Amino acid sequence: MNLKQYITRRAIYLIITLFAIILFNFFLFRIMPGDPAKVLVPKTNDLNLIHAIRMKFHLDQPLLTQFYYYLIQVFTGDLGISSGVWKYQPINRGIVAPAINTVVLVGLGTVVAVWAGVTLGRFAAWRRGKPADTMGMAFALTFYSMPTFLFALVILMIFGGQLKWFPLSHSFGELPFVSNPPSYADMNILQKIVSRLYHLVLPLTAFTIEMLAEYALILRNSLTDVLTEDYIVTARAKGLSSKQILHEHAMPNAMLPVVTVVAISVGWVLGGDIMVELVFSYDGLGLLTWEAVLKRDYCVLQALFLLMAIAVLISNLVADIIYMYLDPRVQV
Amino acid sequence: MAPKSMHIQAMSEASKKVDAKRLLLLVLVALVLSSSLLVIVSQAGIGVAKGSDNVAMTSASGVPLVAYATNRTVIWNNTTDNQGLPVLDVSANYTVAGRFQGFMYNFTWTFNDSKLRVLYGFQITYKWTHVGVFNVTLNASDPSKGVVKTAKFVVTVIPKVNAGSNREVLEKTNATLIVFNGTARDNVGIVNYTWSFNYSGKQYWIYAHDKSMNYSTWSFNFTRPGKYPVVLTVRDALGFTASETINITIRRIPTFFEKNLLTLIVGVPLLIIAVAWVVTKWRRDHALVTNSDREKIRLQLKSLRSRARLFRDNKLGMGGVCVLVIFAVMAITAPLLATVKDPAGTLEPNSGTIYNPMPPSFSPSPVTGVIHPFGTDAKGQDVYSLTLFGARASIEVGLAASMISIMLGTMIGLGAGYFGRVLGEILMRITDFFLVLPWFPLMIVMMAILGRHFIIVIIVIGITSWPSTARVVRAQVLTVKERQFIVRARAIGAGDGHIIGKHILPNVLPLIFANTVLLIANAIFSEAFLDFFGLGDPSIISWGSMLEAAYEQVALLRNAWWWVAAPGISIVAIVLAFSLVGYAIDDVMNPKLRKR
Repeated sequence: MNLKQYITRRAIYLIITLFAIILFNFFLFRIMPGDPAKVLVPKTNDLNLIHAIRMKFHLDQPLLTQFYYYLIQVFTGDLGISSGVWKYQPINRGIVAPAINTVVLVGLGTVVAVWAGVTLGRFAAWRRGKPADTMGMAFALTFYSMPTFLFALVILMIFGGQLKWFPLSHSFGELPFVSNPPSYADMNILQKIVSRLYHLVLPLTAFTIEMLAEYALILRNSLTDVLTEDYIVTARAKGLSSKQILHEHAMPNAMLPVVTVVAISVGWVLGGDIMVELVFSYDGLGLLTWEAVLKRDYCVLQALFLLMAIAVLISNLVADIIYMYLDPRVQV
Repeated sequence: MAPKSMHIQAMSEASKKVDAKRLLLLVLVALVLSSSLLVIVSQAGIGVAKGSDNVAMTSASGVPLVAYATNRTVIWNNTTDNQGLPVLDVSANYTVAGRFQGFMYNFTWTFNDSKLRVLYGFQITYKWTHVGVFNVTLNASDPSKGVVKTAKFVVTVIPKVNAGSNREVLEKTNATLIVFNGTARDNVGIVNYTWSFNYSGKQYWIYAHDKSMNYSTWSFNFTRPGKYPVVLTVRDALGFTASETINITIRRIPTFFEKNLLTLIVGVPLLIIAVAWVVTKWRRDHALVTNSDREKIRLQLKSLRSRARLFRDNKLGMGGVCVLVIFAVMAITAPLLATVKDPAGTLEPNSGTIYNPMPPSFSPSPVTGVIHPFGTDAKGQDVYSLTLFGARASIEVGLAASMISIMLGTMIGLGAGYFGRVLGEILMRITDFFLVLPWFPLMIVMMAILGRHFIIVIIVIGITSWPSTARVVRAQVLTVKERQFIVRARAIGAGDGHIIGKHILPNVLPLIFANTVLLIANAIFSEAFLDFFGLGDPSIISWGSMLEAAYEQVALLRNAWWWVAAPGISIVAIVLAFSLVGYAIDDVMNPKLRKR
């Protein structure tokens, strides 16, 4: 099977999975209790209004027709109308700000975590059995076993509550070293960026350390595995330096499992950093999910599910491409 | 294998030039740049709408002085209003008032409470001793600029009412006869108590027409389970009313089925499997143990012993086992070890020198005589006993949920791997689909729909965590399937069921076993997560719900570290122990890893 066939096959799988997700997404929120029209206008007995809403959103049509309209809606990039979180506003407008906040948190967090995790894992694997390895792995294992929300809670309480070094909640508004900051609208651009970064520090720390631990563990395991392979012995016999062996022979192979896990977790964390966002009240997609559940806003939940699933699909595709880049043997 | 195409050769050439580290650096720089760009973009207009709500009071940056205070309702003889805020302050919004440089200005509050009163300051504590409606004038002046702004608002003082405490009792006990005892006071005297509640579809109103008798105390027998909000409304001689709601919860006695559901879920399949095994064995060999069985068991014991020796050499794995044994003992003997028999119900009252949460101490409490080795929480519950009983929930969820996901995952993985082609492809698509679903949000949504029951927590965790097992099992089945002994078995006419049950499953089992241990750790995690965010079963004591309570009541700001430390360390220790044991089993089962 050559490259072209491989890519075609991946693309077909992608389309099938995407279609399944859309189908699931549609029916999951249709089987929920309650009339969707009533959810939109909960406190009314105005039958005309309810009828008008049913007509407008095609709720009077059979389920398959409704699904057809939903498909059209999805492919024209319309996420629908919120019923609870943003009263009767299009979701497309409201979701941008939390999406950007989450992408910044997850993006920065993942980059730092991958970099630090790979460094720590490599450091430990290269010194296998030495005190440095034990220390590094003890650190990684502890944070791997600690629920994210617990770690987030502890650093929030210590650095936000007791020491008051960092703000307790939200993604903007306060400034470091300023006891009486101007309102966000009055800040200049530099202040706005500093304010956002200031609010980002604690969530980012919590997120990064939790991810880092997992990546370090995986890399350490795969690298110790790779270092016992025969070609490493051959490389050593050829007289290559330790550095060359590590960077040119061992690392590219050991990186493969890390790429897989990063791809899976990047997709998941869009929903999984929900723990961090909830504890720090950081206005991102995770907090939005929570709000939507509390306010029974099924339209927003539907939109979020779709976005998250697409994010996972894309990150898996990217992982496949990086895989081919790192390991030319992967053909099927 | 197909010959390498040009593309791939080109790629491998490129990968030699750019090593992994440089690639990583490149990605790092790109992402940092793009995210800082996003920060700039995001502040340009999108985030502003949310931040602008506290502009009105900002004075430092040149916004003109505004006098602003809201109408409020204050309880008689109280220094705070009915939302717990000071009776008078320049803003209803506390944080704004704190951030606002109020001390730069002069605030005067003028009102007539039996005589004219004038108070100064931007936040006032005042005890209203007369019920009524009072007009208050707020004058805010900026001495440096000579500006004076005025605002008028109304304070309504209502009677103080106390309807008693919320109660929660079990159905069909003597305690369902609830005695209500309401008290209310103000300076003119209460003339009427009215209680109202809804019971079995009927609205009840309890009140007296006659002025001389008042239903401040009465009782009602709630025989049907449910949650009944009871509202007490009082009216005083001047016609001012105040009300308070208390909740009466009558819990249902769990049926035999509900009580033993976990045991049934685990036990019934095991029983069926055991009976089926005995019956087939008896029909084939006419004996339960034959000579060949004895030989087989001897050989298996031999290999097991060598594996156990390997496991014992693995110090981390043995450490994990020790920790797990400790937790298992904790869970089983919790009622014996605990200092309090019913940790959720027994409270240490706040009285005199005692103030909850109490720090750990080994001397018995002067009031209840109970020792609190890990201290108490804000409600006065014993943290040590709660931690012990919490181990039960964690272990139950861990075992039951991973059982569900192992069964699902093994079945689907076996099917996908063994039958290959169309069925396998379909099953793998389903697995991929579940792997792609964002499972934390899915879990939240399912809990929100299905309700907060312990059994639902288990099922939800079970059915969201099977795809990884399915993939692992399928990969192993694919390699086992091609081995010689399978081909031979098929050649002598063995059916699919026989091959799967007798040849493939035993070869996949060790892998499943290692996977199970890791899944248990994951399930414990998920349970703690659900409890922490208030989606778990409220009637079950668990570490997650202890942490939730600690978070809700800002334990660490009150320096109550023990309240967070006990459940937190327990979760970390049990998950760590399960992970270590899982890795150790992996090490023992997988000879390739051993030479590391």
